[in-house]
Amino acid sequence: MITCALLAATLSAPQAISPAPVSVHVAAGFPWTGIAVEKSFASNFSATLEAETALGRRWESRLQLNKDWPIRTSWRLRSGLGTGWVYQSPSVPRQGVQVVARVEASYQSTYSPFVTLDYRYLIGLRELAIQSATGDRTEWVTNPYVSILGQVGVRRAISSSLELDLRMIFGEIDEVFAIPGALLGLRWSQR
Amino acid sequence: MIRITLAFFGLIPMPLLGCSSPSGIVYGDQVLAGIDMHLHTGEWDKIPPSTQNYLAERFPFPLNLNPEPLAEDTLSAQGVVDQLDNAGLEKGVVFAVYAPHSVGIATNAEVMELLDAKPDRLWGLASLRVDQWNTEAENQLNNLREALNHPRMIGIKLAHAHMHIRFDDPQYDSIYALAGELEKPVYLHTGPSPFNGTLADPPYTNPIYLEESIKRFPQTTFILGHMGFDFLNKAEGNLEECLALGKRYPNVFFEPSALGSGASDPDGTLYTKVLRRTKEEGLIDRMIYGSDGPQFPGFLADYATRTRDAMKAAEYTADEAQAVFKTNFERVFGLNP
Ligand SMILES: [Zn+2]
Repeated sequence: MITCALLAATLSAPQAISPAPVSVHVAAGFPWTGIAVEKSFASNFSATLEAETALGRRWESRLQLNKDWPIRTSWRLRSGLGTGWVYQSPSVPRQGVQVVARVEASYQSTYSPFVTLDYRYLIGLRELAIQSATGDRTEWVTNPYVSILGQVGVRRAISSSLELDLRMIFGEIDEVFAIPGALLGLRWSQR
Repeated sequence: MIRITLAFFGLIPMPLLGCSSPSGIVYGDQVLAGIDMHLHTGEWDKIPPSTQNYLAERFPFPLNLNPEPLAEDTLSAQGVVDQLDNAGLEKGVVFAVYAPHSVGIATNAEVMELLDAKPDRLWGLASLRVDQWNTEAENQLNNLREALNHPRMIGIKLAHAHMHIRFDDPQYDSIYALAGELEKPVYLHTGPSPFNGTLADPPYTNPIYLEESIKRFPQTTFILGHMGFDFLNKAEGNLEECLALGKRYPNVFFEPSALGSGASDPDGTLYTKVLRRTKEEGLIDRMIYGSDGPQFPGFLADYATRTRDAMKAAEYTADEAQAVFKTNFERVFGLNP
């Protein structure tokens, strides 16, 4: 989650005044590791494809559409809406479709601070084995899980096409308190 | 590795860890001493997968993704004592469990290992297998008697719903007879359990089915664990039957573990009701505090705090709260200093 947020966040990089047509962001840390590819379109729209994992036991992927809202010259607001798949195993098995809404605010300078807020709604699918007089059968049941994640971080360009970022992640995953995480990320942007 | 994971709990906010003081439970302007009579130990890989999931879901993310190291650490002698310290509790009682259908097995020998490792902090309840009672009863009773020889094994733990035996089955009278003979109280799980593999039908969960045995063994102390709480529906379940038995028989006691947890009773109303009804019936001197931990790091402290808050809401005096948290336990188990 965090990573995605990062990813997304990073994707929405500080050089955003003239967005790169394509950028790739990788991030690693505790507990998340992830990759995101972003493609920009006209009129401040972009699409992000993200994949991330927590400790190799929770996997999330998603496709997200973003819109940038330049507020003032150095402030930028981004909103995004996406959907994807979650898979978690073995100890607390989870799988299902997840919908993500994301808002990010960032300030453009040499060190660009940013804040991201994610609301994720997972429709968890679980196979239920039912034993009855007419025999055994299986049935799929759904359980909703909400994750709310906040990120704070800072980005710094290290060349015309490379940028580093550092972020911390807080919140809840599937309504369970998440121990704060930290991630280091690198973005490459096509120039 | 485990120590490192535990260090992360320093980052967990206070509500999750409870707010008991390092030594005692703050009750108004008094500090109460506390003993937790319901604790578990065991090895993670002996717990059936469905129960592993149930437990892992209570760990914070991402420790829930790899719960084994944390669980094993929490269930060790040092882990249990660390959790007692964190909760401000003096001592605890660790249960042996033979429930291969549901929560798994913690042998008498494993519990004795803990007692020997922390003899100043831990007591134990011994248990026995009942799954081949026709042929094994004598053997099992002998093993139980031997386990109860251990100076810190102070009682017997049974869980009819987990062990698939009825409360009104006279086959198991020999266990109650042994308990009476050795003056070791019997703790019994009551009420429907949330675990797969347990039986929820009334003869296995409603302690009213135990009445004939309670009557037949007046020398035996029966402690009704969870006070009949219905963990499946998160409702009071057989509370009134428990209280009625307490009113009728002086050898009946209660233990309110788990029913007031964040998962079972998020806003504390059910726990408050249980405590208030006990007070209304004049049975506070029958209630012995237990949590059903350690479950996850911080649970013991959280449960002690929730108990304290529910006691306040039920208008317990500090003396009444102290009786539940400690002195009833010492009296019932004959451990008066
Ligand atoms: Zn228990």
